[in-house]
Amino acid sequence: MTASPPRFAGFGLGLRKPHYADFLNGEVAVDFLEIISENYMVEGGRPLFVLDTLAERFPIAMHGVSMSIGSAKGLDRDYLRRLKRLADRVKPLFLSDHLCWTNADGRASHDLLPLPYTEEAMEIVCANIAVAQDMLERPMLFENPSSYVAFPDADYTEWAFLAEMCARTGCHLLLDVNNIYVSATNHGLDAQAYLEGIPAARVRQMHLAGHTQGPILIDTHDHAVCADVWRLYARACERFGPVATMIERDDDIPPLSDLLAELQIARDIAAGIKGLAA
Amino acid sequence: MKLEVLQSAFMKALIAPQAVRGAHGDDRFEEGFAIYRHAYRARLAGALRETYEQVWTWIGDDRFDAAIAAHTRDCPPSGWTLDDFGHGFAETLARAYPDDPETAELAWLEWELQRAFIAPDVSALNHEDFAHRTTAFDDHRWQELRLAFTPSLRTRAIRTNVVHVWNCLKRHEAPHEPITLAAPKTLAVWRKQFQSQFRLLEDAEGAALAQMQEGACFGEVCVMLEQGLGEEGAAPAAGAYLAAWIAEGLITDLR
Repeated sequence: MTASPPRFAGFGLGLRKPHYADFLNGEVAVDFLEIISENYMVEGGRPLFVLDTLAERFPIAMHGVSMSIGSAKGLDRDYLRRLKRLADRVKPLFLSDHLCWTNADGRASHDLLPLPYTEEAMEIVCANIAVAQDMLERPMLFENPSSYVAFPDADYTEWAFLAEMCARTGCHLLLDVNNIYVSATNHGLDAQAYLEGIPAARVRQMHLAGHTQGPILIDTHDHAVCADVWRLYARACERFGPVATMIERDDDIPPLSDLLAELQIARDIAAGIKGLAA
Repeated sequence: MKLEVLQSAFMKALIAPQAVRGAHGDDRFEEGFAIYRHAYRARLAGALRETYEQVWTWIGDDRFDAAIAAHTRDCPPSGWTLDDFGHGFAETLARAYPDDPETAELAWLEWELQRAFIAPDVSALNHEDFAHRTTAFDDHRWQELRLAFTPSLRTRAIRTNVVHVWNCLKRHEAPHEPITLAAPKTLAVWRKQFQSQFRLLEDAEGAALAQMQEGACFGEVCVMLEQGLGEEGAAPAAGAYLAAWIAEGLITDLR
């Protein structure tokens, strides 16, 4: 297995099609780019050409959505082989997916479905992580999901589950600050307690994104980061110190300059310039 | 509840055409679960709208939405990439709108153009390469020549003026009424460098390409062409097809 992912890698953005030309043609002040792995797990053509070209100029983080690490029936080996082929090509800064499941009964949800935080789920998730890290020959990061339902009879809180999962498997964490905010609001949890329950040494990356307001908050990645999430990010920076941070935007994608302005807010908060912490 | 049982039940409820109220015990869970049900359908619909933009424009919102619902019900996704959900949508449209064959043909064209876009990268032979590789060919070697085609190449017989419809839609012009062709023609789709391409082939060229894709040698194709073009017309036609295929980046190797 390759060495641990870097402790701090700066501030990045997601690579999305509307911004291909900006990144290919100009100097863009980001420290790394994050790709959705599945978008580049293809045989050839322009997407891989763009990725190869940009990988010469920017460190690349690979972020997946289809590993289904919480599947009771185990992982898709063909998927892992394809992911490894891409990782060997990209040599990513980070390789991540989500603490969730997406497949069951031969069907795919193409959504990040919630796990019950039980001991049985812990054993299944850890066994799957061991398989994934072994096949990929890399340590992985797993992201805390946004969730809209909670299951009864949990043995762990979400943060305790993440901490124990890291202890058992040696994996790392991609902490999505917006997802903490969304899930904490939806389930009446204490976001500060969440942050305090996370093992700081395992956090290698943080995500920031916008969500949709309503009776239940929905993680839609189609808005700017809101003030409450910035405040939570400031508290996360205090708790975890310098951690690679990126902004995710997947819908209603604005001009790159807007996202760079948002990223500057993250830089300022991390540097302690903006005193948003309540 | 065992995780495997929970995931199976959750997935069944997620993809079931009708939501089952009260299946999960409490209102809060129902409210949250409804978000997952909505997101599942919205994501699948979004994928089809993005993949089949021209088909959507051609048949309009209501008919396209009905086709989305049918495809979501009959072909729920099973693979790790959402892109694959569009596979088979042409067949869904053919079943839904049997009297409008141009719609399924349009979907086939749109799907294959996108598959070609991410097909494996294989260098095509240019005219110089071809001339160099064949300079020492005697008549026997020409007769035995077989071709390897770019892996992005797909062909199918079409029965309508779908190419006209496609071209008008791309130019944001109103197409003429769809018409059925007097005889089926071959539509070829492939990628040259990074650009997906398509071309309607005349009957003889379509037959020649089909034979060579199936592994026939140049001599066999010339014999086939003689039946329609005569002995004198076959060799020049075959030569012209070869030249066109090389120019279009279709040929990747000689065997």
